[in-house]
Amino acid sequence: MSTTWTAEQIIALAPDASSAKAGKDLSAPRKWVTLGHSEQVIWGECQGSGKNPYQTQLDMSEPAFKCSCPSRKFPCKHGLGLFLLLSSQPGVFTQNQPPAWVEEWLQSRAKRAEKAQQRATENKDKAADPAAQAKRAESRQAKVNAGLQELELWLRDLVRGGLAAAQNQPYKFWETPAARMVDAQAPGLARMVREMGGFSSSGAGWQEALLQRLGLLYLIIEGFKRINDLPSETQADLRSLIGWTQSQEELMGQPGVRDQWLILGQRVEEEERLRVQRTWMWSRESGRAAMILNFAHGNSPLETTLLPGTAVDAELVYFPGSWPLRAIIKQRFGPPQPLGATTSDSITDALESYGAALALNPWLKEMPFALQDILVLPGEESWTIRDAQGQELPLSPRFEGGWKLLAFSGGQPLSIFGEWDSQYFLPFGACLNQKWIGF
Amino acid sequence: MQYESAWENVLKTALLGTERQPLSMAGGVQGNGNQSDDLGVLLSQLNGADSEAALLSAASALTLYQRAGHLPAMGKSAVPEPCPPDTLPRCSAQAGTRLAMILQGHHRQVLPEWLAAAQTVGLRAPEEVLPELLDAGRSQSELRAAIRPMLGRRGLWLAEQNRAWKYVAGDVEEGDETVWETGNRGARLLGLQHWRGIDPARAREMLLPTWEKEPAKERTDFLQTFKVGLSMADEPFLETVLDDKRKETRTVAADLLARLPESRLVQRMIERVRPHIKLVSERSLKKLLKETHRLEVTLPEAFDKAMERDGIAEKPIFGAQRSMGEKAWWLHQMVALIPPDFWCQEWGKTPAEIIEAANSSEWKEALVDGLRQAAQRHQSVPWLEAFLADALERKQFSGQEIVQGLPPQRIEEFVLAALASVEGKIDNVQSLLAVCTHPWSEPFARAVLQAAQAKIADAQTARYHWLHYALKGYAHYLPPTMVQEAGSNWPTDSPNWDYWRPAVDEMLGLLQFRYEMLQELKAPVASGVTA
Repeated sequence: MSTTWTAEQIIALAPDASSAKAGKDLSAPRKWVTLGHSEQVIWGECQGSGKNPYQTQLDMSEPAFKCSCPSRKFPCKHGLGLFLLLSSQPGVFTQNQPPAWVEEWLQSRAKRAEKAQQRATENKDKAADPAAQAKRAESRQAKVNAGLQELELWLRDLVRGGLAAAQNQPYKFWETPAARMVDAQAPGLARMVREMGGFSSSGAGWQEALLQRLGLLYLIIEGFKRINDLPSETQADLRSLIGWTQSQEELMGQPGVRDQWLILGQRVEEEERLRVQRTWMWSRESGRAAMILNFAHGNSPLETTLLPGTAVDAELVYFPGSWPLRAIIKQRFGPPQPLGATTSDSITDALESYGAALALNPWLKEMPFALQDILVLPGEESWTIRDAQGQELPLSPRFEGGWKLLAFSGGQPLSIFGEWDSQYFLPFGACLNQKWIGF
Repeated sequence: MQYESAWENVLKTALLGTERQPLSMAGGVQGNGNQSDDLGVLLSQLNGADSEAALLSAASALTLYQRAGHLPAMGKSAVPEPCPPDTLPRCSAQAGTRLAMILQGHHRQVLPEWLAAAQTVGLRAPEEVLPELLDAGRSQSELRAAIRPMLGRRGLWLAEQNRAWKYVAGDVEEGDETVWETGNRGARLLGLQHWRGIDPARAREMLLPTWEKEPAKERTDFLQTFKVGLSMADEPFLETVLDDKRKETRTVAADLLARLPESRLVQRMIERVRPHIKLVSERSLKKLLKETHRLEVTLPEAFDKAMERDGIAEKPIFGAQRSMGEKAWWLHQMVALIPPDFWCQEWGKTPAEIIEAANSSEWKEALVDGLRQAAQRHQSVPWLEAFLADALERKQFSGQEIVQGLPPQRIEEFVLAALASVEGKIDNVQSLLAVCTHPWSEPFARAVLQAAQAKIADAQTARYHWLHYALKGYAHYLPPTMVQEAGSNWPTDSPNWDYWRPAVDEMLGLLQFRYEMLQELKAPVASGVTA
């Protein structure tokens, strides 16, 4: 039974360091009472502190984990341990008929996949009580309109009184209009307003940042007034900014872009009880960038298992917009492949694309760049990257992987992947001689 | 620059508020004279009558202008030379991952073992782990010697570029004496250490001329290097250091001189202590007319400057020292400083006889412990053996019998004999095992595990037992090749097994970790050329 997963890649699936450690500790045969495999699935029973051993199983095609232990983490330490054991000592798994508890799970997975397919096609055909739908849409449109009018008044008051006065306002000053936006069913705007409350304490230049944000908010308001006259992609941009969500099921039904997608970066950010995972991919043929967003609330699992540093044959569907970036994976064809060569630009070309993108979507902030022939230059105050033409971009002060990047490069030019936000470049991956590392 | 002034104007107005300062059209937004570019055209189209709208619109346009128009700077600074390819092969990817894990805190104490094993096989650390490895060396200087061979050319190249890692550059070119003249403190210290190892006389000659001018702290450090290659040739210099201004330096000098049996310090000490101790032999009916010996002691009366100069501390510090009493404490120090063979010559007795005599004395603790320390300081094998035999006979083991300098084989022999003498009861050898910090041989490990298993199987064994906490520590010394065997024969039926199982699991987990770690370092690796 083949697997292209190395121990390193498996450990990268762990939700945190203590799970990784616990998983490693469980990757010894003596921890497992039974072990077996059959085609695409492996399973084992692990003696825990309870009376009965925990039943752990892995569907290799995705991979997908399941374990009977009470842990809320995902994948749990048993899943990790089993997977690690497979990669280090595949021989201890005997070829067998899957026991009942494995068969059950496989069947329920097959059924769930079937149902999801069914629902997707159903939704496409479903008229779904068009009257009620239209009524809901109308109601929301009205609420948003009213909300935006209120917001405009608030914005005007703010600039009339002056931003200097805003610095000393209590948090409620920002929280109240944000809450009003939530009431108006415009959660995207609510977030943009709420964030401004933190600007005044973010350091030097906060006034400029605030004014920029206010300008862009005003642009949204003005844009929405004329939304029906705007191209459909810009309409999609506006709706998305305001907080309309795109139905993923609907997207799944649309045709996507199939290619070898190179997974060149991944980052997880924790925000209170929410984990946000961003995965950046580039298509080999067309060099198009895509970003996959995954969310997990509390301790529940992050859905997909995309492995940075590999390529995957997949079909991606982009969310609608004037400069499409966010996408979902419609279908995967086969296991992860080695990365191979990566496509990349010079700094000038990348900045030009950024400008072109901004022309289409003025609210775009961060854009993924794939840059080639980059030298990494450490500095006293800040680090920069320089391309073959001698152009430089500053690295973000938030970037902590500078020395790791420099060590990896050895002073040689390499490809580097990251986000440009009009001010700084924040790397999430780099590649030299077909070897990839992440940050 | 139209953008700059326009933005400044808009920002200023925004800060003050349009109520206080309406957006100035003449200033830099509208009608600035330059309407030939798109920005100017756009701004001029704003409705001046509606100040707020004009301000917000201008803000958004200028923001876009600024973001889209970023021009990259042209690089001017010099680029560091790329690193030449490494010749040493890189360790495998799994070994590299494991090193990263260890550095991040997982079983961090096995780091020295990992580094030593990698060095033996001639491997270097993977490039991505170098920053963490270099950081470890920065905060823990005792690791530096083991880390250096792991760095390869890449690590040295990397360290040159970060001030925090300049300790690496302290490395001395072998044989370069100019470092002593011009190098920094770390480099000079390394240089001196290096020379003491090769040609102690040369090192001493380097140090002597600058000795007076060296700052106090550095004198102590430099003097410590004399531990290597110490000989009577150093004695004259060291004798002068006994008068040094700083106490720490004097203490080091006294300690060094005490290691030279022919030094004047030792001779003085002998003369000082000689009149205070007498060996008395007698035959008594009580002991069935067998000859027994006893040491009679007259304590020194007063403490004088000469004693202090020779390294005797006036005030005892630790409890054990204080309980002997101040005068006995002085006597104890004196005995500890002179070579114990002197007593053999003085009284014509064997070490065993003298130890027995000391045990029969009123000042047992001061004398016995003093003799033991002397035996260790002067590495006198007959004396060390005599102490071991004494402990075996009395079946009381304090852990102090095992002194530095005893070969591991001998230590294991002794501990096994000790264990046998107490019928395999591991409790009695607890303190011995605690100082067995060498890699254990398989037979030794087997015996210890058996004794531990016997203890655990015993239903009488109480909870919160010392062994529960010690087991994990033993995992550092058990031979990794025994990982399978170590997992077997545990008394899982014992009534207290639930209490012991986590400790045993932890021990086996660490042993497994070490086993895998060493296996990974044996695996064939990629070529040395940096991929």
